[in-house]
Amino acid sequence: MLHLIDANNRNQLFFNRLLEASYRVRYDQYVKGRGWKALDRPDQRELDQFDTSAATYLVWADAGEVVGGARLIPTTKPHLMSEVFPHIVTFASVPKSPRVWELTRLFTARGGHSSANRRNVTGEVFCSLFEFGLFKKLEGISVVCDTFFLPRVLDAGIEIKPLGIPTPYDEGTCIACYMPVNVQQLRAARGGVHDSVLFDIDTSTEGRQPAYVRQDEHVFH
Amino acid sequence: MLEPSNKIQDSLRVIEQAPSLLKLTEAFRSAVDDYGYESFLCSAPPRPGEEGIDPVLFGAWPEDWRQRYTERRYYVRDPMLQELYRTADAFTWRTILNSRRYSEADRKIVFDAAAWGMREGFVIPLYGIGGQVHAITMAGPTPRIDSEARSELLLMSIYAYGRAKRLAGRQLDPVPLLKPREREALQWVAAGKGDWEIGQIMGISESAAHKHVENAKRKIGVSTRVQAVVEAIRTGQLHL
Repeated sequence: MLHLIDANNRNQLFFNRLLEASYRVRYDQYVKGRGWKALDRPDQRELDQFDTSAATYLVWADAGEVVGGARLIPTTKPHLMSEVFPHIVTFASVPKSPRVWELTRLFTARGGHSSANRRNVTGEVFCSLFEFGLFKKLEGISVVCDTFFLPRVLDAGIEIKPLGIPTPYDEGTCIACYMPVNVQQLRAARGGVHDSVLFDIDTSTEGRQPAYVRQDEHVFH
Repeated sequence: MLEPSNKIQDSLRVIEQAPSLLKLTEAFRSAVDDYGYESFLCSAPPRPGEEGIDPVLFGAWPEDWRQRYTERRYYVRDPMLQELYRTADAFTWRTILNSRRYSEADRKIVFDAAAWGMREGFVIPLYGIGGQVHAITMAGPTPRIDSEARSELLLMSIYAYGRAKRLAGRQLDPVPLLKPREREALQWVAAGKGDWEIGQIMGISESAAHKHVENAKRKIGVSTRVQAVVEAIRTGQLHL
């Protein structure tokens, strides 16, 4: 299931363990899997300058085992696009607003899971992004991602706008993008299959503000 | 004169708002024409060694080249297809022709396209949900392949693909691809033959013939032989 970890609960044992486990899965993913040597650390955890108390984590875990996750940071704070990639944003300026948060470190663990299971986890993490966005009344989510990720998002019917052209890095290219947050986006992310994964949001209430019910109460102590 | 980045945004807007696949094709044609690409095709290509049709989302591709390509079964060895399923990144024809990975005979397929004004090309793999692979191939006599052009073409291609998928709606679920033996067996089913006869004709055992037909049914997702024949004809994999 999905858990939300932020400044309010990250020091509680349960959530702290999940967060630590997700740093290790990120290490497997980015340093071992994709060879991002700049992120290598002797303690085999992957953390960068944006893993601060300003970050909110969406973590998919099964009995304490982290399988997927995402990191969200308010764009009013230093974030990847503003600090590391401002030069790839050429169609507009870098979005900076309390109602726009940046998505980074979206991952699904490689080993030990069937591709169907991994797809399901990725789908649920994606749904949780929009549920969180609606819950926080965000206008949008900004992201710097691998360009090959884009067709998948568009294929799902999710609206994603480029903020510049793809820019080569290492082997592939990356691109800065912006996804509006609204009920239609959540509906597309759910693809008619998923129920609520984090916040109970009814996508049939088109045009009206959806009602929010916290599903995972213990998250918000 | 528009700034280059404004021009891209303009092309993207027209692509994203295209009301039909026909309009989308026109928008894409005028966008890539600026870079010297005269032909382009967005399709779900068969994997190397796989038989089958190539469901097209949109394109402006020389028809007689396509026919020659299919008749000569170039898709079995086409280095562009092999490369497509090896990488997630876009690549130019030149890179492949310079690579030692592919044999002289395989590379000849690419040179063959030159007679249709396709001397250089750019191939963009597009991974959709569920791992479904599409590709946009564009080619021309002397198109731009510099890094800036590649980035801009990549972006426009991704959005053209996204728009095409929406316009094509749900009708474009991937067509199950039958193997040659499964197709042959279905051909004989259509001619009214039973498993024993099919086995005799194909020079295989009755149970092997039965298995080919059953595999075809399973792939197509139907429960009777007649339905399998009908679906295979509908998807262009069987001709009577």
